[in-house]
Amino acid sequence: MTDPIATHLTPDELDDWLAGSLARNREAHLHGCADCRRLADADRALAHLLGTLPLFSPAAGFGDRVMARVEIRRRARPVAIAAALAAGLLLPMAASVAWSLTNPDTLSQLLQGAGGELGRMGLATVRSLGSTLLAQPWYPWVRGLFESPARLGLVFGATTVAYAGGVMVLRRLMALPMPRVAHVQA
Amino acid sequence: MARPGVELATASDQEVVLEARDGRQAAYRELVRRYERPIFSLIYRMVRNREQAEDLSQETFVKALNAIESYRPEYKFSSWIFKIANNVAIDHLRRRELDTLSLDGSPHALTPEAIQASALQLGDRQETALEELEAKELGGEIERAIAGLRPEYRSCILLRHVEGRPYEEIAEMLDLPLGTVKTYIHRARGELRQALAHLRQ
Repeated sequence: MTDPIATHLTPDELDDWLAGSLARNREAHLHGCADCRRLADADRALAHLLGTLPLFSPAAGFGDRVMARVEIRRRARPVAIAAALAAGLLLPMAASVAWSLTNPDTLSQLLQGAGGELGRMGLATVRSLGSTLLAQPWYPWVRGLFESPARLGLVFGATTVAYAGGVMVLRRLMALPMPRVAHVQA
Repeated sequence: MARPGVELATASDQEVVLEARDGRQAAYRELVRRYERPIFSLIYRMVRNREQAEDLSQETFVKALNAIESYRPEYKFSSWIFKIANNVAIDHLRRRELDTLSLDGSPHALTPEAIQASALQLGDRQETALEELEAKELGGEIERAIAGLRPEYRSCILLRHVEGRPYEEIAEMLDLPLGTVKTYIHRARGELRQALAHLRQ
């Protein structure tokens, strides 16, 4: 095993030393090794020099020049969006109610005529669907399920488990990767 | 309408961004005020030309503020805008490399007048006021040593030691693996130590 005292400090360890988090046994090496001490001192001086470099300012009026080129867009507020949607739904409904109240005879005729026709069409549709369903090859099996509560319970349970599993898999696949940036206060 | 009670000068970056998204011009100006000096300083030290640094800094802010809707608040605003600034500076340096002036004029010059205008005139150039300022600001030993680094090393060392960003954040800003960022910074420190060794003797 390599003697931790004998080996010189790695660049990562020099970083740790600058940050004040170098391991104790490596501090011991630093105290005893002139080369590492020279490097560490040089790095510390360099870090200090870099840390005290001044910030420069752009020419006066920089902010104005930037703002002259920026397009300021006002984002629609949620309340405004909700109000627009509500108006879009309520206004036609209100107009419909108002028309119905002012034209009761016309409305009555329409409902009678349309209602009768719609009812006939609906009945024909249900009859057609029913006869199609009865003719399906899997219909006796489905009917058998309803006649056996235990079998129905089993199928329902299996379907629920399969659905829940599918949702979990989908959520996992759609999860965004966690950012690698360490959480630092702004 | 602004959120009640949001004092821009003391609000966090995220709060100011939300105000900017609501169309509040003062919020845009606050973001520029907060970051104009750090962004300009980074770009200036990267490109070493004041006029170009101003143009590129403007470009950075215009890009960031015009795309403020696409900024994701779970990331730090400073990381986002520094990323844009670094990309703008690196792109400029790459274009500048392709357009290097020669003694005989730019390879892209098409007319005799353009060739003459782009050729280096030795001995007859007087330093402009801007160049004097640049020499004063960036003429020191440490600044010249930083200028001698590769652009990738330069941006890493500036973000680490001048801006004080942690390694992980720099990796995120520059879209580099953490190990690569550490390597760049260690090598940059090594080169700077050598360049400045005569000062310690």
